[in-house]
Amino acid sequence: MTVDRAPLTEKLVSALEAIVGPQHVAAPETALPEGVDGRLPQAVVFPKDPEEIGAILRYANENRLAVIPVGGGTQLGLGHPPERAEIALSLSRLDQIVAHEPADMTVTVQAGISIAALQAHLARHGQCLPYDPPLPGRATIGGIIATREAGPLRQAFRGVADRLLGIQVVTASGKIAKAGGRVVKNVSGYEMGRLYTGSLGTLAVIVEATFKVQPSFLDAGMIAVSLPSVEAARPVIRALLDSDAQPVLLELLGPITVGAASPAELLSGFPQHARAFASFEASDLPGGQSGALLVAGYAGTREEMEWQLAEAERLITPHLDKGAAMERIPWALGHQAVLQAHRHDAQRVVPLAASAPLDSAGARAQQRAGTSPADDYVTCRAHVRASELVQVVSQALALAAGSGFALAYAAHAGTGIVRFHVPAGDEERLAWLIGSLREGSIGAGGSLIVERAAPSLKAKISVFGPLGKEFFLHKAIKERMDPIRILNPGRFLGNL
Amino acid sequence: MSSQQGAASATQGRVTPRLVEELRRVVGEENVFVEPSEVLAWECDGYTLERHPPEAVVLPASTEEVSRVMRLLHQAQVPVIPRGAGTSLSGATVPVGGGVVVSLSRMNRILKIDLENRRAVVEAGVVNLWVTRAVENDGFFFAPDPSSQGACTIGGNVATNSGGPHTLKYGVTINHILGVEMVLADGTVVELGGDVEERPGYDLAGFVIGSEGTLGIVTKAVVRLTRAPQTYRTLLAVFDTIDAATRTVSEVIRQGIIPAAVEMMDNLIIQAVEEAFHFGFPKDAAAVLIIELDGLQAGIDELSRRVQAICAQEGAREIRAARDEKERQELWKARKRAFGAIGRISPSYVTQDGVVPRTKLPDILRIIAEVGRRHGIPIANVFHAGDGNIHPILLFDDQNPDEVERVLAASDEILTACIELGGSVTGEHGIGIEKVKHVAAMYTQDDLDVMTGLREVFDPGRRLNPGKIFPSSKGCIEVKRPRPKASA
Amino acid sequence: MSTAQSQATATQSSIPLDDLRTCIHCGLCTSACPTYLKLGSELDSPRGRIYLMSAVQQGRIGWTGEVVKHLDLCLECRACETACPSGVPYGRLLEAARDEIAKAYPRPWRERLLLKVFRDTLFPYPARLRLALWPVRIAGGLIRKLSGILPDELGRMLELLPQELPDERRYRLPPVVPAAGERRYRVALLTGCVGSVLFARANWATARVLAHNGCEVVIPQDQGCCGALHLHTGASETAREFARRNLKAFPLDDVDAIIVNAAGCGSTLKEYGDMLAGDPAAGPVAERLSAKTKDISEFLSQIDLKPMTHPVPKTVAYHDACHLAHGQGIRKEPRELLAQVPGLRLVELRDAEICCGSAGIYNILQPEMAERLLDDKVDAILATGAEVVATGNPGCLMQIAKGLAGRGGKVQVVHPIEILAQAYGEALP
Repeated sequence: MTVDRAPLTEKLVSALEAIVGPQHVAAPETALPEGVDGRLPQAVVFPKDPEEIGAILRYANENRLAVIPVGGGTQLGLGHPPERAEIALSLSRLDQIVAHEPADMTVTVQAGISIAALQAHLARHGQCLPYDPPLPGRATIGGIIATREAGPLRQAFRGVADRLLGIQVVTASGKIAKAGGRVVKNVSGYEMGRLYTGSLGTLAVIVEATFKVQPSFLDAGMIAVSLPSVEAARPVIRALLDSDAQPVLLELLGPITVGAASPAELLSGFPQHARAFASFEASDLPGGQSGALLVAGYAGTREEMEWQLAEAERLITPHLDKGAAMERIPWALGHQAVLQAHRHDAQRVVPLAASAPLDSAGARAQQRAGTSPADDYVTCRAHVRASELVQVVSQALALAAGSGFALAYAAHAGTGIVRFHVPAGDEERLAWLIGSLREGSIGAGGSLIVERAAPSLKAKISVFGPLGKEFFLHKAIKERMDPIRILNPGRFLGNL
Repeated sequence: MSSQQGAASATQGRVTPRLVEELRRVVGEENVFVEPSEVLAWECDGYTLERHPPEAVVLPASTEEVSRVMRLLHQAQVPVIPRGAGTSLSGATVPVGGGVVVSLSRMNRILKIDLENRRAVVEAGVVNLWVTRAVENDGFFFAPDPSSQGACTIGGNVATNSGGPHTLKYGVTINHILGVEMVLADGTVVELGGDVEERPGYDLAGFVIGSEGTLGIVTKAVVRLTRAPQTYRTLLAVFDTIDAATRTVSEVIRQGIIPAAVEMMDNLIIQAVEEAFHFGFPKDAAAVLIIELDGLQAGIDELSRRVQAICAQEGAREIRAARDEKERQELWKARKRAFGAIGRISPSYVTQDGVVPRTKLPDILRIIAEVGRRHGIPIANVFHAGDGNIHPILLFDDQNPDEVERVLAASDEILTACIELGGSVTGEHGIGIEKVKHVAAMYTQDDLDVMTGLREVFDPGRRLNPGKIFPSSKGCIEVKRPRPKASA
Repeated sequence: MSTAQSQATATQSSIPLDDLRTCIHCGLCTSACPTYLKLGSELDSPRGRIYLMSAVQQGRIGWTGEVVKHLDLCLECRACETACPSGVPYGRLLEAARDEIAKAYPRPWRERLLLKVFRDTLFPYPARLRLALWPVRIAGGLIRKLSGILPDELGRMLELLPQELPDERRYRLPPVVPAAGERRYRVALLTGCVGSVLFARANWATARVLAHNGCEVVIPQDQGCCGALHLHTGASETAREFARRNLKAFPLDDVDAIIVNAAGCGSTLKEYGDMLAGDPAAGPVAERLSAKTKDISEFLSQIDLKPMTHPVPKTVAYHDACHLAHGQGIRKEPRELLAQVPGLRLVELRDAEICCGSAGIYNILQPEMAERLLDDKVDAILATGAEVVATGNPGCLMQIAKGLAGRGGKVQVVHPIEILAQAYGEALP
């Protein structure tokens, strides 16, 4: 990648250094070498608190510089490539637990803390935040809020905003603004947390959040079922959701080669397996058969979990036709595999540098060695009516098979969310495929967004899909909150 | 101050006979009210300390009618006060600056029930409890259950992000709304959110919840249906001190148990409830807790044993378990009718609504008792202890102006204490007009600027439910509350 | 300060101030109110009506046509009392307000005439009613055809009449019906005014079921109208006169209970104590009469019931008469009794506690609202697929039968006691 340095860089760097200190400004080549969707910022800045962030944003506002807030860097490919990207603003130094009162079951954290670090802290008190996004070691709380990435546990615990009690941001104009509070019920003023959740850093920089936490699972177990086809999963999903035994996660993964291995073997080999099958040609699948894996997780006390697993087995058994297999698997194995299935590119997500500039670009390069090229996979995420999920997946598989794509999928089956992964390749054909998949999703009452794709492909497609009638409200909100468009300009819905 | 108010009213349009005629053409003659002897029925809601009649009341029957009404009122620049069942306890529907009440009460149909996707589409005027009634035989319920659930509407629940006893486990209204259809100030109809979990873009459906009718009029909602638990265990624990009861609440939660609900009633309320309904509560108890556990048959008895052990360890003198569904319903009836029971022993009362971190419950209850003593106002407490959501009920006689003043002062002190303890001045009733002045204590001007800026995105003329939520931007004007009207 | 004032007001107004002030304006009654559910107007809700009464009492408004029409539209079904957490005696308030309206508001002649004909002349007097009905008996078909050209109200009344007027001679009851077997109780039966003519069969069935259960049934011959119609339409003084007459007619000391099978009448008898509280002579007697009054279902659920022997293999829906469910709080008793009938399948009616629109003579005075409510009720009945709908009030029986007939339904409408009588082996043609 050629680096094209704008002349303002030096002025910018010194201005940023004046705010955060020289040791907290890094060169993008070392700190964020792949940039944001191929666009390299001029500086990466690591402020220590909301006040410094405010100062940076005020400076950016005055000088009309674009600011890209960065958490763990796991979702930098989300959205359109930014129109401009002068400053990458890392939240990595805001990584403290501000308050945690176990008996109140609330926790207040800074945005830059990783979810793994937070979970580790909560676990010491027998609590957790029931979100399980992929790459927990890197995904930050701020990033999870900004991208609305809850993970498979949303089956039982709903979305990110559902546990968000209070939030503090730095507005585009550099002011610190909060909403909500630290108590579990509060209807004073607008639900700003809802607005910031999923806003992809286009309205304000999230600096602190308070969540309602949950007691840790006392026990948790899983059942995995391999099924001869994705269609065979539908009655099983229905039966499991109609039961008193309510799964805390219910994932549908595939395609798999039926009979090739037991469900546990399939899952334990999942990262490799997943990467392997993504390079399959559709015709490689034996007999053209494309099976599916259904993974149901249950939690509670030992007694509750055992009852639920037994109940699930009882419900699944009548659906076990030829080629189907069911077995109990350890939670950790299944959970890990499920997360991998949602993020095929997990291996190549490179952590953002720590606040101090990295020793050398070489080390970073080394870290990346062994991973695939940047444009390995195209990933789309669809939200559809849960009742139509299987049909949408089935149509997608048919579409892919008919047009020569190897398509893998991972779905939160109870909530109607599915990710499609296809190997990168001919962009014209991919654009056609994405358009067709999107039609299917819209037909099922939902939408499809392209989560990861090479910038060149993004230029040929619509990342978020058609704009709704209410787009004028989204646009007006952006204009109100960030009138001169310094925060992630162009990245969001409708290039806001 | 008066000049500012004068300036505001200069830009505010009036309800002219011509406008009334046009409104009648939209909704029908019989659905527009303008006679002073009629509109006075809409001058207050469940909060009666401030009253102001609207200039007109319109009862549209469809989204289309709401939209046309809103267009007319937009052209005439007349303020609009959206209203559901009028059960607000914070005066959220009081037409403080005049204007036209647009009531959704005729839009009360359940349009669609989709059990497979666990959602229902309902008109805004549908009563909360009707949703549960419609799906309970299929094993589902609509989780938010405010005490007024037999009358309050889904539209009102959305507007105030209503809670209820079972929010401890199931969350408040915002956790159960997937989408809304909303009519904006100028009559534009928008659909926000919808049938699926998420839509690309900002979560506008979530954002408008709890906005108390200041962003638009919600005409329909897509609500989430929750699967009913397999079984319940409902316990009544009797305590000799309030502290023991609140300690029990904290300890239950600390041990990682999330009951479906934990409700507390203090001695005064126990006495009132006993007086009215004879449920058999011990009248000498300092406090009782109603603890409801729900979940799987497997494990619920173990859970119930653990909770009972905690109650005993914290000093409960008696623990009763509801033996069947009938006894369980009786307990809940006692709890939900507690407010009414107070009505039987006191000519007037104000139900306050505040939140503190759960662990601060003992502090706030001590403060409430002290404030009551100091002002000579009896205060009863019945509240969602598991959420730290207090509902002190201040007893007084609204014919006695001095008592009214003391009640207002006592309320203010309690709410201020909630903020100081790290809480909020409202957990579920909303700001309305009642708590506008406390908002400034909870938020900085920068916090509020963000919110009011967004309000202008939706309603540039600020004609929707004026005077609610936000203090006047022209500085803090202390609104002198008008005396409640004496009966003579 | 306020006591002197409120006393002054109280003398001007007969609406009891203390009752008004029990309303805390919470609005929980609104969704229970049939007229509010239909119209969505606060003014046509119990809370709104109470607010209007208060406003009149405070002198803010007067009894104008605009105000009166909202109180007229009230069915007085008292569903709001069931919903009210504060115990507002709404029925009592409304009766007082209607009394006041009768004095203060000059009604149009047509409304006055209606009340004169139906309330004051016809319904309370069985003999007159019989006389008025004889043309229907001998030429029912013809008269019914004529209903189109009769004045609206008369036409509506004719529509309400049962398709087959019962043969009163077959169901005539002697002054005393002996107990079958050992006498366990002695009870008096209110046969009602309209009821004794149009629902002789239900009265007969009531007496038979009581007799089967060891009750000697006395039918006081001097009894008259209970006064409900007057009480509910602003003529409480006349209602009190009726009450006094009944106090004399019923042998209070000689009976264990006064049995009523018409919800509206039962509810009124239970209020005699309140109605005559100001009368030092009649008051205490009225109090005792009220205490002894029992709805037939209430009484039967309190005694040791003989087993029912004859199966009635029907699907039955039960509709709550307002003055039973809300007026007297009797909901489960009739259901439990029906459930004991061998072979009977009891189904629940959607919105069973919402008024059918009958409400005394409401369906004659407020036909439009009555029709709307009736349509809903018929929809709910047809949705259950029941063969029989049972309800414990003559007004509801007539109203629902009319509604079902209008929809060509084959659903039979009966008083629950008629089903019980069959279950005890009585033939009811």
